[in-house]
Order: sequence, then C-alpha cells, then structure tokens
Amino acid sequence: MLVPLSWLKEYVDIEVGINELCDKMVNCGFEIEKVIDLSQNIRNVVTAKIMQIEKHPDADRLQICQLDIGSDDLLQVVTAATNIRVGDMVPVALDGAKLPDGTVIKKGKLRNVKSDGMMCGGEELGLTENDYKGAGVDGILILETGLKTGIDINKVIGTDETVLDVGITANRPDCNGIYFLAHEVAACLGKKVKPLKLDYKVSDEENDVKVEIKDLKLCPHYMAGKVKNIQIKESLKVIRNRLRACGVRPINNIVDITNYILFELGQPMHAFDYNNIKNASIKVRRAEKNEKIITLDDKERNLSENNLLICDDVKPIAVAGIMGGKYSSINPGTDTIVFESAKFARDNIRRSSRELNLKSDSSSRYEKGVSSYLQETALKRAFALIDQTSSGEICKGVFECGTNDEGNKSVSVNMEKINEILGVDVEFSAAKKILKSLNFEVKGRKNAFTVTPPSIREDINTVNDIAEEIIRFYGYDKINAILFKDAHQTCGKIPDNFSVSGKIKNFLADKGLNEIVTYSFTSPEYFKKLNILNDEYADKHIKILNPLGEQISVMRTTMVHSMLETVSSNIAKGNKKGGLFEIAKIYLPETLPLEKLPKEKDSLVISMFGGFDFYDLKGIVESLYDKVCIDTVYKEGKVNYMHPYRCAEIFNGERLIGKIGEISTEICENYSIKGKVYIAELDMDFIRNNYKTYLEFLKPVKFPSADRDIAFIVDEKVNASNIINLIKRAGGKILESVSVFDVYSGKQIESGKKSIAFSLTFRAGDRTLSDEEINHAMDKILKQAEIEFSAKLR
Amino acid sequence: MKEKTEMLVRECSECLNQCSDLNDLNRIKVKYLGKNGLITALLKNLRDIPAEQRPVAGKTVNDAREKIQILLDEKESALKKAESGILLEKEWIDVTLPGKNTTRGSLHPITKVIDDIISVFSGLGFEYKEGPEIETDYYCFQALNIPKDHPARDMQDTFYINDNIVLRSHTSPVQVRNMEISKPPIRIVNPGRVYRADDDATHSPMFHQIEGLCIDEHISLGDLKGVLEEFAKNIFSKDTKIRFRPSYFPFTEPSVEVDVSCSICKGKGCKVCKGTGWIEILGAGIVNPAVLEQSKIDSKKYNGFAFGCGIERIAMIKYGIDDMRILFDNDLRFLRQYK
Repeated sequence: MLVPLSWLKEYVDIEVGINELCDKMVNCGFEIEKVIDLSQNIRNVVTAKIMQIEKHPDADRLQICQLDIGSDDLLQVVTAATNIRVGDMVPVALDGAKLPDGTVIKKGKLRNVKSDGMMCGGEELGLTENDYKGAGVDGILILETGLKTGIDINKVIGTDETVLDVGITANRPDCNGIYFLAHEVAACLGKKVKPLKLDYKVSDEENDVKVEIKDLKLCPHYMAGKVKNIQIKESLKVIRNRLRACGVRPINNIVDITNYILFELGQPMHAFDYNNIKNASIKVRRAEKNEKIITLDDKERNLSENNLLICDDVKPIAVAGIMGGKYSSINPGTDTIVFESAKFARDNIRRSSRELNLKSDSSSRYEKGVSSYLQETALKRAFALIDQTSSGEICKGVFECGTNDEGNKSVSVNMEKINEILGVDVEFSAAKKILKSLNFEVKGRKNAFTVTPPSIREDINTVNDIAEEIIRFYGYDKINAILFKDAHQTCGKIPDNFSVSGKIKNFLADKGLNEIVTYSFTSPEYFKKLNILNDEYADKHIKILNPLGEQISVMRTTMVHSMLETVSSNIAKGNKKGGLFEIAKIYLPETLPLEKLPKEKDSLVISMFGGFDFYDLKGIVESLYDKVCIDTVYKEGKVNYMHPYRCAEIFNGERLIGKIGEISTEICENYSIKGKVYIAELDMDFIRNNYKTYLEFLKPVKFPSADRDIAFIVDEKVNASNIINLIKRAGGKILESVSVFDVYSGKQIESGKKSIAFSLTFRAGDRTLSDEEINHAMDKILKQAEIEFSAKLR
Repeated sequence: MKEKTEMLVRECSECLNQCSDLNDLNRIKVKYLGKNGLITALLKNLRDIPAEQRPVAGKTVNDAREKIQILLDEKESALKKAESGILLEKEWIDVTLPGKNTTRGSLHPITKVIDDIISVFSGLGFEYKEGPEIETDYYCFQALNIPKDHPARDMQDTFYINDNIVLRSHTSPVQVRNMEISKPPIRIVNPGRVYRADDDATHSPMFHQIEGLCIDEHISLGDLKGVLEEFAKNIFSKDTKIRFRPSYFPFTEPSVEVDVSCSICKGKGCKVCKGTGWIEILGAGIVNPAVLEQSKIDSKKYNGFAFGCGIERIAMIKYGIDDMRILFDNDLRFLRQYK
C-alpha cells in the first residue's frame, strides 16, 4: 500500500528520520518494500517570474526573457514559446536541472544569445491537465499567481512528497487505512494519535433515503447519508496531491472524497446521484440470473445470483462493493448525492470480482475485510470533508440498516502462557504498557487478565494473538535461542526409501552422470512428440486449469520428454557429450476428470548422448540394479519412441520395471537432435520398495573351481541371454557362473552367423570336481545348444 | 702363507675395482672361490702343511676367503643396483599426463542443499517425511486455517486442477497429514516440489520447499530460534546469526520472517544482501491453535512451531547464483560444477 508520509504525519508526530521510521515499522511487522521520493524526478526546477521579454536579434521565432528567480541577478533564458507575458509565473529549469524523462538541462547559447536555463511546459514536468491546471496547454506552463519566486517546483505541483510502499499482511486489513496504520506508527514511536476531524454542520432537511437489505449475510451493515446543493468542483490541492501520490487520478470533489476515505480509513464508499435513485429507495439484493448492468467503465456486465447488487425501486445502480453503475454516477450536473458506507461479505466480493473479472480499489479492500465499525466513522468523515470544503449541505439523519455488533471480543490470558509461547520473560507491566499503547483494554492481574482489543482489530482472538502483539513491540531480538529445553527427545529418522534415492543419485554421479531437475508440468504435445499415441499413459495426463502457458499446462506421465528436451538444449549450447539423470514423480490419474488424488509414481530417467553406445548405458543400469540387489532380465522390447531393434524391456520376474534403448531417429528429429541418444526409464518406486542392503551370508566354498571356455557358432540374431539360460540349465548344480567374453562375426564365420564365447566356472560345495564330471556337463551343454540353437562348436 | 693370502685379497680387490658387470664379477668369483679357484687351492694345500702349523694357516686362508666373499658381495649388490637403475629408467613414464579415471558426474545443487538440510534436522531429532504434490484444497488450505475465498489465498498464486484439487503451493499440507496420523511429540521435516503461478528471475512456477514441524509440550519461539540457528550455522557458516521479524501466515501465530546474517559480507552489507547485512530465508512461527484443533490435537496441552523454507533460495545464496531460472536450465556446464 502506498502511504504518503505527509498523510501519516497528519496523525502522528514523526520526529525520527525516514530510515529509522522504516526500521521501526519493519520491526513491528510492516515491511517497507520501497521508499519513493516523488521529488527526485525533478531536480533544480524553480518558480520564476517573467520580468522582461524581448525579441531575439537574429531569430524571428525566439524571444529573450529575463526571469526573477528570487536571487539578486535576473536569469536570461531564450525560448520559442509564445504563450508567455511579462508578469507570468513559470517553472524554469536551471543549469544542471533534471526532468522526469531523464533530460538534463545545460546552459548554452541560442543563435549567439546566452540562455542560462529552460522554461518548462506541463508535459516536460510530467504533468497532465488533470494534475495541474494549465499543464495541458501547448507551450510554457503558467503557474498560479501568488507564488514566491525561486521555490522548488515540486512544492508547487505536489511532488514534494515521500511515499512509503508498505506491505500490509492479510491479518491486518485495518492498516489498509492510513489513519489506523498511524496507530501502529504511534505505538512504535511512543506517540499519541491525533483524532480524526469528524465535525460538520447539518442542514434542516431530513435525509429521506431508505435502505432495505435483502441478504444480511452478504451485506451485514449499510449506512446511507444525503448531501444536497452539491457543487461539483476540483478538490483541495492537498487531497488531489495525496490521491495522486497513492496512484489515483483526482476527478472531482465528491469522487475524490470517497477515494480519500478509502485510503485514509480503508472503508470503500460510493456516491450516487440522488436524482437517479428512484423513490430514494435503496435495496441490497442478489442479482437475478442474467441480470445486466452497465458499470462506470462503460461495460455491460452479465450477472448471476452470486453477485450482490445495489438497486433502487426499479433497477440496479451498482455492483455492491465492486463498481458503481454508469446510470447513477456523479456528473457535472449532480446537485444531490447519497453516500453509501457499507460492509459486504469479503468472500462474496472476492468470488464476484473474480467471476466478473472486475477489480477495483473498493473490491480489493472488501476482499481483505472491512470492519463493521468503520462505516459510521467513514460517513462522518465524508460529511466533515464536504463541510470543510463547502461542497454541499448535509441532510439530517443517516439511514442505518443491519448491525455492527459482532459480540464481545475479550480474550482471557495469563502471563505464564504468553511467556511460554514467546520463550521470554515479559513482565506483566511491560505487556500491559504495550497493549495499552495499541488501545487494547487490559483488566485483571498477571495470572488472569482479560484483553479487549479496539473494535477495528478483528484479528485478535486467541492468546497467541495477544502474545504476538506483545512481542512485536517488546522485540523479537529478546528471544533467547534454546534447543528443546523442556521437550521430549525424539529420534531423527531418515527412512530407507529416501536414502535409497540418495544412494542411487550418488552412484549415478560417480558413474559420470549429471543430475537434472526439470518441471513436473509440460506441454500437452509431449506424447505426440514421443509417438506414444497408443501408450497406456498417452493423453491421460492431468490438466492445470490456470497454467502460465501451454508449454507447462499438463502434469507429465513420463519424464522422457523433459529429458530429451534437456539433451536437445544442451547440444544446442555446445555440450556435445554427456550423461544426465533425473529422479522425480510422474502423475497417473485413475480417472479423468480427476475425482481423487492421482497416483504419484517415482521415476528414474537416464540419458547418454554424444559418443556412447547402448552397452555403455546398459552397463550403468546393470550395476545400478546390482547395487540395490534387484535381479533383472532384459528382453527385446518395443517402445514407441525407441529404435525397434535396439530396445529392451527390463523385468524382475514377471514384472516390467524399466525400458532401455536407443531413441529412434524420427523422435530425435522431433527434438532437433542429431546423433544418437540412449535412454533408460526405470520404475523408481519399484527400486525404493524392493531394494535390499543386507543379503544372506554365503560362506565361501573352500574346494577349488575349474574354468572352461566354450565358443558357439549360432545365427546372428540368437540372444546371448537365451544361450546363457541354456548353459545354466544344462550345466546343472555344479556350474557356478557363466559369462560372455567375446562376440565375433566376420572373417572365418559364415555370413548370418556369429561366434559367441562364454567362460564357465564349475565348483561343488562338498568336493573337488573331477575332470569327468566337468566334461560330462560340458557335453550336455554342447548337445543342448545344438538342439535348441543349432549351435556348432567353434 | 699370510703374505700369500694378503696378496690374493689385494689382487682380488683390484680386479673388482676394474669390474663393471655381473659377468665379469662371476669370472672373478670363479677365479678366487671356484672349484679350482686360488683360495680353494690354498685350502686344498693345507693338507701338505705340518699338523702343528695347520690351525694357524687354516685360519689365515679362511679369513682371506671371508674377506674376498665380502668384497664380492659388496660389488655384486653395487652392480645389481646400478643395473636395475638402468632397467627402471627404461620404464620411465610421464606422471604429469592426466589419469585414466572416468569423469565424475554431479548432483544438482537442489539435491545437495536438501541433503544438507535433512542431515542437520535429522541430527536434531526430526524425521523425514513426504507427501503428495497434487493435493486437496482441504490439506493445502482449509486445514491450515485458510478457508475458501480467504484473502490469505492471494499470498500464493495457486495452480488449480479443479475446485477441490490443486498443485500444492507449499509443503505445509504434509504437516496436517502427519498431525492427523501421529501423536505428539512430532518432529518432522519434508522437502519437495511446490508450484505457484509466478515466473521471473527470483520466482519459478515450480520450486522446492522444506517444511519443518515440531509439536510437543512446552515449545516456544525460543526453541524455534535455537533450531533455526543450528540450521543456519550448519548450512551457511559457523558464525551465521539469525533474526526474527514479525510477519503473518494463517497457520502460525505469532508468525515470523527469518533473516540470516549475510555470509558473503559477514553482515557489513553487499550486493547479495542489498546492503542490509541480512538475507530473508524463511517463514516460521508458533503453530496456530486453530490448526492443531483442526487436526484433533489438544491445543491446551500441546503447542509447536513450524517453518517453511525455499530450497532454491538457499542454493542461490549458498552458491552465489543470481538467477533462479539457471537452476532449471540444466546446462551441463552449470551442472558439472556441483561435484
């Protein structure tokens, strides 16, 4: 919220500097986001009186002016402007002056005549006609008469102001009114708040406006006052300047008063033209379905029963709390007005404002919450400002409807409980002093007292709230750090399923891979890019209702897409070779649209690109499963985005737990990747739930082993894993292990065939094996291989 | 005899001085100590010496034999040493060439920071927990004292799936889920992904938070300060200080923003801390009794504290990263720095 310092100072004497003030406000809970010095846009521009004007000797269109700038010597300035006369008061930019657009003015010569500055037009000072009368004129800005010469122009145009941008937390809607923020400032400076001026004269005429609230839940309190003989005019300068400093354009005295009160008290007000309220009768009711109103911004709004309307006897005149209707708005011919000061339910205003896509200063105040104690004060303040500015005559009586009684709000507390929450020993007397400085009523003794906050403070309900009020002013720096002095001991556990992720991450990093983190949401096009149109998860993703962009609008069901995008962007950046991995969730809805929370499954994706081959990646995946002691079998598989002949599915028993392969050229093209990319997509949940660390102890056998090698010639498409299975079966119990040590095709091998060599180790647990036993096993293996694969011994 | 042996020793020694390889040495050895060697011959001749002189003569010859043996051994070891030196030199390698180790990969800075934080809190008795990222409105807001249409919802721009399901905008729902199923004392931390409709140099629509919750008897802001001080010292540096500033969160009361003293300028003021000497790192507070009651925990008996901290922010401060988006660019040149 923008807070002009002069406004704050109207209610509190602030004797400290701006930095100290900001520190104090921050320490009691009001973040100062910015300190804006409005005068810094214009430097070294002063008021000057034109004493003499003469023609330039060498240029018909130029004039030489002598200006009184309050010093002994006159200032000579050459100008092309023609709207000036001797005796006019004008702004002049002196040598070195800075203008709002950043221009720096230097003295110089114009056609050989020296010019020591520049007279400024309204636009050059960043002003519009609305900001300052005459600023819209083409030429030099002619200032009001009666000014002294040589004074800073900021003082004349209302920009000699410092504005604090204060962060008001959602629990303190009261402080959205500068007057109430002043209470906090007063408390932290140890000062008293000056009272609001609320007195005004009343005319004899009675207020004849009647109000009826049809929905007390949506509008618990409504007050209406009437002012006649209105003179629509420009507001006082101080009001106009403050509104501008708050970022609001001054309009006329009546509208400005409602805005002024919005900022000063946080109460949104509305002024209706009395003559446009049929029968002087106001009804507050829900809109009918498809009921329409044209709002002040000239737009027709289509309403629903959720929206609250202010109506007269026949038609709607405002969308309650959000925006007035065009029809009953204040216009230059308005002679009688009705002030509305009401409370509307904040949740309804919030919903309606979103539904209608219509926001205003008023609606945003109502959304934050407006105390029902504010309406009366605001209306009185509006009358006082009308009176003070002679803008009209206030009619007798105010029509009040609904209630502002929300019950007694006292909180019973004791110092022990408060200090237990705070972890400090605040004396009762100190606590009392703080609470009283905030206008809280305190009754009772240390061990049991009641605190009654001022009615405007609707955020104070519990002992915790009271504790916070105390520590805000007592000082958070007085809290001593302790470590569970009076609490229980607990054991800090890191469950295995978390640590296994950590282990795998470290393992993969040790293998030379780099961990990435990509967004959980992605483009709905991802499955098309991956050609997984018929996949179990294709198009079954969860959509975000309000995404920031199409590219990040659905929750991913695979991480391969993000991985390929990352590979692609790395290659584009010149990182030609690398290995990447990510462990994250994929989101699998059981039904769409989503009725209950989806399954969130952990997935691990690994990629290698730039000079790697399938076996590089497979080697890593194999040792990863080895590390977590999960048995795996690799079978030729089909995955839509992978090379049809370079892709395997990984099984644990019957269960599919991963896929590994080369990304097909066609898919690579979708990601603008040239060259080969290998990807493994593994079920991380399975690893987390099935990994083992402590295996059964197997005592090393003391009998010697016997090693044999064997090489077969088989068809080139026979899978090694099938031969290994065969060797294991035929080798029987005494075969301890078997592994491939060479695969060869080419010279000496018939085409379409390959030689594949295995090394076998035999051992028995209870004896030294004899040659016969081993030969017998080898024969059996050979025979079986001949039967199953037509294998020949090489 | 004595003269003869002395002469042989002298001769042998001279021969050895000339000797330059092991073959030569072998010849010398044979010449003196071989089967038909000069010393061996003297020993054989002892038989011809009168019996009474034999012991003295024998000793003289044996002494000479020993001397020669020692000379030979010395020479042999000297020659061997020299020879192996030549051999070893042939095996010279350039030890300044790079080693054959495979390149080490890297862990993402977010992972590193989470691991560090978890390890600090596990030491303080906090148990690691997880919770869903796609969450119900109830757990994400209502149970945390943020009813529908409450202005506090504006504090976070939430991504909605539908009216009742959201992408969690903070890790706080995990608090509620745990309070519902466990009894005090509760001490948990849970890191994870969170989502908000925000995207610029200091905000990302997806980022990570870590949430801490402690529910017990006699818990105060002092305990919160103590725990967070330990956290700050372990994550940043031993001399890090923390400071509380009042703030507001619907689920804590009192609520505080927590600043740490800038570890870069040691509190003197620099670009990172915008000249203030302090950096805001997290929000915290005493758990609002309304939240405890909502989760059926007796707020008369128990109270507690909670805190929530942005991981990216910590990583940026710790590693001096000036744009949050770089964390999600996944540029290998960036990633490889975090070994």
